Amino acid sequence: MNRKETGYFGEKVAAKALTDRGYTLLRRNFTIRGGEIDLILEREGEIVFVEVKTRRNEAFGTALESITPAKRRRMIRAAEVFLGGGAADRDVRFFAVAVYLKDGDTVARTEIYEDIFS
Amino acid sequence: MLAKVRTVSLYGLESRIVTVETDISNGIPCFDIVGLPEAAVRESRERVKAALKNSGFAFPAKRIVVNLAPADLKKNGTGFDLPVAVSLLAATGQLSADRVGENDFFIGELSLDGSVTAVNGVLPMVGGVCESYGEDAAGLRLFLPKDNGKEAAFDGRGRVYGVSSLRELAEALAADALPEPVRVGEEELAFDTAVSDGLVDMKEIKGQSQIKRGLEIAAAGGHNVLLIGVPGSGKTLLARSFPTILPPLTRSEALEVTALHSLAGELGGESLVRRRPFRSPHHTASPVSLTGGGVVPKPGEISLAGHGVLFLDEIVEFPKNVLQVLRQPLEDKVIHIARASGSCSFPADFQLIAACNPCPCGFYGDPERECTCTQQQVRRYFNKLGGPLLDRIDLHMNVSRVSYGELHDEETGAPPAESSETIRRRVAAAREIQRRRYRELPIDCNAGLDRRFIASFCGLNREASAVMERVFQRLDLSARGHDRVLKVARTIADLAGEKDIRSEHILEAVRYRSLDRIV
Repeated sequence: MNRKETGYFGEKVAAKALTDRGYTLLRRNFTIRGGEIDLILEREGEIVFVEVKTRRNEAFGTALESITPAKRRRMIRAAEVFLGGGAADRDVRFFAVAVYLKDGDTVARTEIYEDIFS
Repeated sequence: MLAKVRTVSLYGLESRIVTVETDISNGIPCFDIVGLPEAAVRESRERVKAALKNSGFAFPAKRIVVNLAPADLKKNGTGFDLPVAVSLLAATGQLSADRVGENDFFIGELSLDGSVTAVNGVLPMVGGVCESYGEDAAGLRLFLPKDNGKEAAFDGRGRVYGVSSLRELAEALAADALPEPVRVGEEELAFDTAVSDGLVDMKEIKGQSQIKRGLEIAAAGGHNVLLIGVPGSGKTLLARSFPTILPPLTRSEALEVTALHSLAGELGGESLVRRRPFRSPHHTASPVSLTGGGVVPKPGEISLAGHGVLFLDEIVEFPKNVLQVLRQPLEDKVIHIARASGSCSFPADFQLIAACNPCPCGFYGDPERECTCTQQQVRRYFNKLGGPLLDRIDLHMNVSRVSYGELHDEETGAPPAESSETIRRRVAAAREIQRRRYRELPIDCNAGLDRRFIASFCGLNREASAVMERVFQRLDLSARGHDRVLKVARTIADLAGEKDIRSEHILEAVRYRSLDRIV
């Protein structure tokens, strides 16, 4: 698997983990200029924006460490565009999902971090 | 949900009531503080967040906006942590909002573990709030850090509750089971007469009986003093003994001193200042360190020396601009500070004790060593002080070195030196006489007499006025020098418990004008 494929694979794993929890997937890879969001889901009126990080090994730091302030701004910008001014009446949350792989293509574990920006 | 909690913000000594409004709504999660928060207040977000989580409360992933009203006033200090946390608890329903009312005030810094730590300036904050409530102050509930409890209770109005942690406060408020308010006992308000912290009891000083007498007069009349003497003559020691003969602080004076020390963060673990301050800034001090100032105005040395002593050792070594800033506070007993963020005033009601050498080489007038300075150098040396400053100093004294005999007075059979306590009693009696005499006037001691009042309070009988005339001509006194002699004579008469100034009082007063003979 090349890098792109690894990321795509991780996003699929993450989406599955969240839909298992009762979320409905709305969009994948929502991209605007200056912002992008990997997964957008919904549950009981609550909108969740998710950044997925896939790691083949942990030698280069954990997944959360790579969500920098710049990345945070990009996510919020994209979320604002997606909500289109309707942010005020929605309960908005930001999650991060870390997918750790072993031997190239088996999932070692999946971690969901809720409310990463608060 | 919206919640409102009240707290206090300080600018200088002035306090303003601030309402912390917290609104929690849906939307992209954030935690913002608006209403001109300065750096320390903005940082309170991180402390509040951690303190809530570590106290077992939930921190909502919602859109949180905290407004500090009035929004045009700059907010400083760490005391906002506690009110912000309490309003967050109320806004999220973790604390029922009806538990916190209009008459509840919260001040305190939060530690990350949720404990409440002390902040500076609690006494002026509490004083300001109670002042604005007037008669209704008794109904106030003031929630403050436990370590500031005594200090705040010193004010005497309002109910003060010492808080040690956020959790404890929230539980007590929820259960409506507050502990007893903090009280201070009478004995805790008592004046501390212990001679410590580098102060010296007068009985420890050998010889120098004339100088001690001069200091007694200065203490009794509130006069400023200049000690002139060769190196090693004991000027510093004498200055350090001066606060020990000053009368006890009154309650209102102690409140003012404590408020200023609290604001400057110089209470040093004590809740009340119960002794007269003694400040001795070094001659490398900057004008701002003396006057006070800074972006967040803090009192300087002259304010911290209020109702006590400002000792300027080697006063001639102080830069001229530093000495010049003393002029206004010496005159008005207050210092006005103008800063970009606004102006404020601090009281600066101190007594000045200055010390210097008699000439640049230090040995002018010394019986043993010869002075190498020219007369001109000596004059230039004192000119550095400047007339206006010298004008505010009523007593100048020449301090000479003690002789071998005086150092060993036990063997000579001379009476032992008086203790500071004995002298303090006389000083207090003389102050009481002045207080009664000037009851109706804006002054409280003889040093405050100006031209208008000298005529009415320093009248001389025929004999005394003849002496005064002779002295005036012999010493070639200026008009100002004349007034100075009269004021000091008034104090000497008060110390003696006499109603009128007599000739011997004038003759003694003249002895403390030694500088008039040099320059």
